[in-house]
Amino acid sequence: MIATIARLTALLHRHRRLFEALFEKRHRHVLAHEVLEYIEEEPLAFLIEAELLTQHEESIELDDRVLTFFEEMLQTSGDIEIGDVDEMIQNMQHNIALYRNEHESHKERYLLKIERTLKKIPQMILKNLNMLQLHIGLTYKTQKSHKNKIMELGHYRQKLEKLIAIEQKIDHVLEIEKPFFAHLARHDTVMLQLRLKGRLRELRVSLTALQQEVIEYINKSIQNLAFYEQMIKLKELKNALELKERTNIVPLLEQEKMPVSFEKLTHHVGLLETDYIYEEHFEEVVDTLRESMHLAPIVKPQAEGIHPEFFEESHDMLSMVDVQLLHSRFCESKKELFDFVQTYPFSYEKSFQERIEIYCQMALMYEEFYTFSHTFESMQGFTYLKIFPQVSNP
Amino acid sequence: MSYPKQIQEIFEHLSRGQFLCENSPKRAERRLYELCESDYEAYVEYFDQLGFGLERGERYFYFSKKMATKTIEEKLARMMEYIDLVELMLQFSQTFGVGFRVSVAELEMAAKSNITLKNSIEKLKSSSKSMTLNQQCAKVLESFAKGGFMALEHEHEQRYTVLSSFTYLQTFLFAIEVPSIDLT
Repeated sequence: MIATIARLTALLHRHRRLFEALFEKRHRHVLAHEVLEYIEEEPLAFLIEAELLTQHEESIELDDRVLTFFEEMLQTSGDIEIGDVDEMIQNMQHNIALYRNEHESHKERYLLKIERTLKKIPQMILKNLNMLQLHIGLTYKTQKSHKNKIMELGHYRQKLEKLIAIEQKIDHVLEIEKPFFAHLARHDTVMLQLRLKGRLRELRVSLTALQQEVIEYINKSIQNLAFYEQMIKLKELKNALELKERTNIVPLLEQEKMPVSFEKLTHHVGLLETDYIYEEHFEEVVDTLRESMHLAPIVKPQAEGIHPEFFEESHDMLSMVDVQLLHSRFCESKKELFDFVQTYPFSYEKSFQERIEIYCQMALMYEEFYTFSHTFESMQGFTYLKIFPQVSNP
Repeated sequence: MSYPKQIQEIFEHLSRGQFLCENSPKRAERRLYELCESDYEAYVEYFDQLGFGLERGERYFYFSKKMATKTIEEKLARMMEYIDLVELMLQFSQTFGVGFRVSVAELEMAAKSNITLKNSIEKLKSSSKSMTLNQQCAKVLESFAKGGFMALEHEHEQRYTVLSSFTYLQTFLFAIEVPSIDLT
């Protein structure tokens, strides 16, 4: 047994590497030969003797008090110790009672104890709240087995409810002890009590939120477990080819508004594809859309109507004179040209005027084949030159 | 009522058989989800004229067709595939559900150390003997993505996330009344 703090701290300091290693490995068994890396056999035996370390068969571990001390100081304990808070309140009430009965000169001792408790309570509740929050979150996210998850969450829910009950108890105790704090002359204690009340109000909000969260997690986990079990059953029935016969899946499928992905997928685009207009039913689609969308009637631009006369039958006659044939006949006839043209039987009736034009045309075109005399004749007021075919011409 | 210009995108996305989910990894899709959420009734009316029903679920939207073309047998076959896929994923992790993240490599690793899981993957309709285990695992996740129940979150890692549309599948499968079976 170590009697003084100086001796204790000296030992801790001297073997700090060993204590550090054992603290880090506190969640598993550390065998004796593993620690010999940090300490020799003789001092190891001394530390066990001094109850700083304990030995169980082959394994070495930190003494429980040392471990608790380290965890408390370093705030690394993952344990939720709600009972401690409850005990602290009871102690505080006890110290208040003692304070009241004690003689004035001895009262300060109790007052210091009360102050320490007032400081420690919110820290303890906060630590427990943080721990619960961490454990609940981790359990929900990492616990693979649904059953264990629900069990663990249920356990933390109970702890949380206890913590809420304790918070209410503290509030109640502070209310009961109101006269004590009201008559205290010491300012620090009164301030601590007021600070505690304020802190409790903040904690209450977080505790209620966490309580809701854990209930939600439990409900979700129960639902997930139920889904997991349902899927195993469905798979069993499917494998046994009994799903269709022994369940209501077919009526459900008939009633259900299934997503399009269960249908044959067709590609729809918002912009009209030009190829689509050549398809057979395009016109019907357009008509349906027009009807359903109640669009304003489309005014098509129209040209004016065509007059019926345009379609009536009409003939334009054009008579042509075969001048070449006329020339040949004239050469054969040996007649005078003017007389020949005037008497020639045309297929269509020719006026005197037209015949004069033909006379002039022939005289100009076949000048080289005709003999122009120097004799002029007159007819109906026109004077003409007498023209004959050349004798040598056929 | 005037509709936003994104209505075309909403139509194109939903008519491909996809869902619009609140937890989609794509920001643009989350934006389209919010638009549907903001004026659901008006959108229902609009798409109704095009022959589609805009259905609303728990944090997702999807299209149903007024005139369903597939027969019950075909829908049943599709649902059976999902029963296999979901059961397989629950074998992989009992926490499989909305928000769950999984990569092809993780599924492959799990299948290598779990013969039952590996066997289930190999028996799937989408698997063939010529495929590697990695390819078979990729097919599993792709099947979910094709149905709109998962989305590729990280292309390089081939990591998928389960979308809120998975609730649709979950609700449907839950609604099936199963006679009591002795599972022991």
